[in-house]
Amino acid sequence: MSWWRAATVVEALRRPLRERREATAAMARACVRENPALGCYTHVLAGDAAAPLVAGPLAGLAAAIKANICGVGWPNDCASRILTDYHSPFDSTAVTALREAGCGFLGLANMDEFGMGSSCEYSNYGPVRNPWNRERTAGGSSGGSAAAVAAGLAWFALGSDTGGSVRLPAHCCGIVGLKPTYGRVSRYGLVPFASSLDVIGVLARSVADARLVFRLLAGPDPRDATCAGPAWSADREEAPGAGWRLAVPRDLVGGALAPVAAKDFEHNLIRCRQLGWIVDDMDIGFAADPVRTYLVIAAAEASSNLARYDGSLYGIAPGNPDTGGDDPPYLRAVREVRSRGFGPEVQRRLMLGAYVLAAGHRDRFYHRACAARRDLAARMTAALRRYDALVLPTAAGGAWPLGAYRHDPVAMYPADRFTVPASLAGLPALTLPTGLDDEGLPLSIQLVGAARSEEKLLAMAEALEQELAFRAGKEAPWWRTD
Amino acid sequence: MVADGLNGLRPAVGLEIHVRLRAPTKLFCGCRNDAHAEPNTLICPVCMGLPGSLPVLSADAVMLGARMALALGARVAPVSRFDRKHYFYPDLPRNYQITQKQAPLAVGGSLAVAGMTMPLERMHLEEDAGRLLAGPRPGTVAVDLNRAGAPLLEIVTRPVPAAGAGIRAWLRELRRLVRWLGIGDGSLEDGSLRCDANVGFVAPADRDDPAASAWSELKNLNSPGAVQRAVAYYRRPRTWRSIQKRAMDRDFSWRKSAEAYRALYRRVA
Ligand SMILES: [Zn+2]
Repeated sequence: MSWWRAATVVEALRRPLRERREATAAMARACVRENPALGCYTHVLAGDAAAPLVAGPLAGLAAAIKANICGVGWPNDCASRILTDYHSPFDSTAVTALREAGCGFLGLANMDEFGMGSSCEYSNYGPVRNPWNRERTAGGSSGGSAAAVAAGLAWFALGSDTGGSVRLPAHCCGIVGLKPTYGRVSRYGLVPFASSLDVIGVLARSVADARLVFRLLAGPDPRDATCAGPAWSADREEAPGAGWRLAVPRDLVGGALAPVAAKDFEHNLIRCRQLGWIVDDMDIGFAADPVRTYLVIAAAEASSNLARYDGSLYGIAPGNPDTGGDDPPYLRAVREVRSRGFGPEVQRRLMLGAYVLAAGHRDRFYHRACAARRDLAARMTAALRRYDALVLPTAAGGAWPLGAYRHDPVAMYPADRFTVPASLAGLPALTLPTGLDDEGLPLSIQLVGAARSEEKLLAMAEALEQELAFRAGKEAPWWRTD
Repeated sequence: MVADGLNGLRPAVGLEIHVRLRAPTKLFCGCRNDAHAEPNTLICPVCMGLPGSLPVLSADAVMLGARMALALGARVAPVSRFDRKHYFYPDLPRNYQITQKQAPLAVGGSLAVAGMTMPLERMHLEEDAGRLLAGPRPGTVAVDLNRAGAPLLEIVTRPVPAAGAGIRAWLRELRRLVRWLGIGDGSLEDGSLRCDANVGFVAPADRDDPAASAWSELKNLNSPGAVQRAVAYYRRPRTWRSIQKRAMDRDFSWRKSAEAYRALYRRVA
């Protein structure tokens, strides 16, 4: 096995630059060779994009970039047919930060179209396969980012998280996933799904790697009016120690876990106590189902954000207008492009969003969901004044089989039940792999911290990572023949 | 009044005046705010609505809007918000306009001209749309986005009893004020000052609550005389109805399509 297959960024940075460059070149060749079987990239990049000659803290390394994060030099189609061959003329702030750090880019990570999905099956490029078991989902919507990192086809990856889209794939693929506080990392250049929830996140092979990348991304951005930072601060870091207080929101965990996942979760709580941390049970007291609240808000915002895709300035061009009755020709052309360009899941959510925003429904559905969200955020924030973090599972069990929800897509929505609360409240959350289930699929734990407390959240996760001593790179079966 | 077929209803008019602000940049991006440049030379990812671009509010536009508000005796709101107004039209790159509906920049105020006091409802900032031009081939349409995202201040008056000549003089005075304050060019000819009139009928008993009555919007009346003419339309109900119908045709509501998804909604929420 080549050393780079399982090495972390931190380990790679201890080696000479020349060795890192060679490893990344070997990784780029492996991407071309292995991507057809995994589907983790929509486009594999080569040449200067993968190996820039720029000095910086990440020189010699390269990342996977989710296909909804804009950058010059690659197509940004968000895995949607409607944006076929769309090339962004500008870099997202996150990509600029990586470029300035000397980082290269191995490819565009496959995803659920526009981020809508939990399994990476709703992609114009076909599904992402889980490297641990290719008949299983890699999670979604940043499944390509997670699979690439887990399979050793990227040093780390950028993803985006709207309701769990970084954390659920990290869980399914046995790696670390960090969803920062809303507004701590710039969204400039992230193609929006639901603007009040979207955050660019990091997928990495260790907590230290996630920290290293997050430090480059965090900070205010004049091009994103909702991004106030602050930048990473060593003053906010806390030495890991005894006495940290965690709370388990029992009303959210409920009886939703598969038996083996429940056992793993309780076991992890014991390990937290062994670290000298206090772990209390509590009830958040949700007034409304967080998943339903999330679905209404995310769909409403998506129906607005995706209104711009009409085939007039970019993306696929209109074909033959449908028989649109007496609508004006322009509207018929727009309808034809959108019917052909959006996949079924995106259409479902856009229609749901249009429905909950329609005059006469707005108060009953959308405004009520917004009120439920404010209530939930207040309750979680209040809990985090008393506790250093909330502890939750990331998902109810290991990665499920591909195609499991083919005939009932709506039944997949509750897959986000443990991840949407932090999204609705705008709080930072981190998924840490903890072990394998009885089918050899990764399980994880999720820590949710107070707003802008990533420094502490990462310190906590790192202490637990050392205690659990599980690392995908060491346990993974698929490199042994490399 | 029964003789004119209006059953005692009195015509009233409310004006919506759009002032293109003389700010150096567009409302949400750094593009130069210039109505006279070559087509599509003053555009960027933000005002083209490209995926991933984000709007950042121009402080200059806010200051100019506040200056106008203070001059008219309006209350500048300590917190105001922006909303998206959705409709599909080729001159609108994002297919929504960023405007202020729920919490405008300023409320109240008035302007009195020659004994006629026009009370004001509100003043808010919003972005302009692009411009449609004849396309390169016959039957095609081209879009110039130089104007897309240009900063507008919309001044909405409260409805007052329609009196054509008075409104004309009032608009002239408002234009003088716009120019004197340096808010905008105030030119009706090149569209840097545009006026829409809402003409409606108020039952005598409802005089204090014009919102309870029927209203119709007349778009882009580009001279004080046109406003006066529009106000006179109420006396010709057939013409008025046809204008009303055209105005409603512009409402690309999503209500119809949304009805079809009731079942889906019931499942998930
Ligand atoms: Zn611009």
